[in-house]
Amino acid sequence: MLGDSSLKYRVREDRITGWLLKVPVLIAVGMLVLFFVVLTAKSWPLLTGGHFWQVLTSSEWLPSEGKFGLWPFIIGTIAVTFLTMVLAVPVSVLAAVFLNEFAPQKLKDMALPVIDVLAAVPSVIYGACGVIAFIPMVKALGGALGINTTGRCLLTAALVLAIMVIPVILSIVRDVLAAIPQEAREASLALGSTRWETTYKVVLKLALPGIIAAVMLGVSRAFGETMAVMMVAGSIPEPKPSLFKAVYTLPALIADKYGEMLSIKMYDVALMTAALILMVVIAVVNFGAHLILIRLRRRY
Amino acid sequence: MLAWRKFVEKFWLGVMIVMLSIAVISVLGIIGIVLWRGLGALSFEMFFSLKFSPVTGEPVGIANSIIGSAYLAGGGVLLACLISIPLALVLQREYLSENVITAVTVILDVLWGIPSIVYGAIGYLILMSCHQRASLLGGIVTLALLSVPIMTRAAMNVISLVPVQLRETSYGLGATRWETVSRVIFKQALPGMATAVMLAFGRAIGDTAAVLFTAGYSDKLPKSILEGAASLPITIYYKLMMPGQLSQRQAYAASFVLILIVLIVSAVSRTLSNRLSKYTVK
Amino acid sequence: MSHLSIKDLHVYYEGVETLKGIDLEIPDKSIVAIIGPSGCGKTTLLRSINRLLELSSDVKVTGRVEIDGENIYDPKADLISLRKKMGFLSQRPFPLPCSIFDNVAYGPKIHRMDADAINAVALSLEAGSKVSQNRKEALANLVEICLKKAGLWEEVKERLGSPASRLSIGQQQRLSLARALAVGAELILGDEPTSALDPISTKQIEEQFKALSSQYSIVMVTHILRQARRLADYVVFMYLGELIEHGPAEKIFNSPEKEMTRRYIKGDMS
Repeated sequence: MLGDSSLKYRVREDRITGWLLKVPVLIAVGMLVLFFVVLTAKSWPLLTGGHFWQVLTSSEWLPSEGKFGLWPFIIGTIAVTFLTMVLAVPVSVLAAVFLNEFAPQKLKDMALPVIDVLAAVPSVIYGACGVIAFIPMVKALGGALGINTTGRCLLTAALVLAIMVIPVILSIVRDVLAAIPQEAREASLALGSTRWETTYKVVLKLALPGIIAAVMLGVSRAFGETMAVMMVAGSIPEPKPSLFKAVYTLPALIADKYGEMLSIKMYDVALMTAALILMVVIAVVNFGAHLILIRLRRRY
Repeated sequence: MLAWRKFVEKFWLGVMIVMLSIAVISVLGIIGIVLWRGLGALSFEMFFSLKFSPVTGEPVGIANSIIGSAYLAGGGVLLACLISIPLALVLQREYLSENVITAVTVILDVLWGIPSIVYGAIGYLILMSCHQRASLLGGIVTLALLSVPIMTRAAMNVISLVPVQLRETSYGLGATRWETVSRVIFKQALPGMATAVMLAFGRAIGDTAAVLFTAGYSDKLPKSILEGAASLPITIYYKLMMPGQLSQRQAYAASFVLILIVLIVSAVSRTLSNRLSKYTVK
Repeated sequence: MSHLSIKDLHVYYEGVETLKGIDLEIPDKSIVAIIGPSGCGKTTLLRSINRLLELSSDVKVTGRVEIDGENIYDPKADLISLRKKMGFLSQRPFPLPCSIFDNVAYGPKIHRMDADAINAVALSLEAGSKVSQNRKEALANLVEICLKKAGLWEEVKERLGSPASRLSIGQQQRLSLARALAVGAELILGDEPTSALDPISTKQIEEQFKALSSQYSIVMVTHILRQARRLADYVVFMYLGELIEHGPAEKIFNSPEKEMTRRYIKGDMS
């Protein structure tokens, strides 16, 4: 029969490419497994034998004496992330609500591409600007309040990070709001609500899971950010964080010390433990955020 | 009563406008400051000269970082393409079950969220276990790993927008899965794929923490792939921390170039997706 | 009882004229059906009455829509109070994100109606209904009356506190009706309110409309001729943005004046 051999060839081609295409799937899954296994194996000496709890809670960071207390770095990371969110969430959520619900079409068309671009600006740029502008500003602010500060401190780090995550949160919240069906607004407006009442009682209520997911993604960005923090935070381990005192975060610790680790015993193990903590926390936060977003997408 | 309700609305409208202004002014302000300082630092030498200062022995410009960054991000993204595009094509119902697709999607999302410093640390561990020093190759591999989830997720979004009818038409004509995927779906998704690649390039070229230990640093251009290479973000970081007017100017100029690249990449990807979509079905 | 009249209404969608000068007096206490082929502007007309039209798109409107003589397009008009007079049922009902009870109570709460105002709405819906000086009781009363009027009470009285989104789509549409009645709407606008519903739910909505038409004006858009025949007291026929013919249902269906209307009624044109 004519074309019989060509059909055979096509079917074989289809089968072979079907198998070949599965290789990248193994690579992607393998990446996550590899990351996890490598980090766990490397930090194993500190994870076992009762060391782990001590590493988590001790404030003693004296690598030359073999004391690796990560608490100041953990609390530093949490403090920076928390303050960042306090600054960034109200600004980005309200700005997104304004853009989607109240702004005229022209402003929307102008603002949205700009926000997309801003969300792509590398963090080292934000860090550089922190060095140029925010350190002197915060130093002056401290001076005005009678506080002695170098300007390299928790407040500066949080300010720089807040400005960095604002476009990220803003753009996700805007997407969530845009996905809310117009009928929801009409149902409320037709009963004689003002636009704000409609936004507050209906739109924001429907958008809440999405907003939470957006904030969680913002948290994971701030939690894992390295350069912008490292450049402005002062990098002194402080077990009790304070606005105008220096702060040291887990990512900054890894970036700072990874080069010099080889000479001291167990130093690399401690740094890999820090990386593992970082990865696990962020994986959990991201996972949660994506679960919420996936469920949301199904609902509408 | 009504007056009060309208006042509440006006009040919140005011608050929202203030918040939007804060967002726009602060973010644009930051970029404005960097661009302004960078503009003052620009010169022909800064951009194009690979010479060294006779006094300090340091390079007079940032040409080595610009070229180094192009090598790193270009190489990394090309390498990532080899994994990401097939991966995005195979994550469809033709080849895998719904559950597998969801699981891989979640894994990619988790990978996307992992901070780049962790990629950097793991890249360094891999280099050491291969008895290699930090080099162009190390940087390229690390950036490729970093780009895979970004590019794949973006490409998946594009593929999901391909109309079902197109697929049905192709199968209706007796095409195999491979013929449908490679000739119809891939072609239809091509403009979006280009955007996904650009997106990954923009991320890779600006990432600092991933190349901090893996790409090394060199004032000269790398002669082979196993030598260290300078890059724009690392230059910004190092030079900003260094005293001396030349270093500072180099940091500003590097920031300027980096922002410019990000802007151009996003503009190009926009026009690209418009241009290439000429042949695609709407 | 509110009276609605439309005077020389033009609507432009992104520069294209989609309503070309509509003049219409809506007769009181009757069901008015707006019919016509798809794309004729019947939904545009309906949505321009309570100004929901301009929410979703770039439109320009000239002319007047008067509720009791007050032009809703007057820049100084009190849009909120005017919208309150008109209940609105969309094609796809949308329950507000709260309980069944709170959906109906949403309007009275938003408008901060006191016990007297709530009682007044209850009495206008059902002469001799229970009244209460306690605002909470009055509200519960009103919710019950509205749900009864919408024909939903028997199905939901045991679970007023459960989320409204769990109701079936037909129940949701009747909930929308109850919601509109609770603000004291005097005019009900329906944008193909049964197009997303199954035949049984459609019948239920139609029965509620019939029952309410002794007290309210109901203006509804429909693309189902048989529905217009079943329900309408008065029929408005539109074609390509123009009002071709309007009059009592009997006259339009049996002896239309215009050739175009006759062809549409016969089913030559869809």
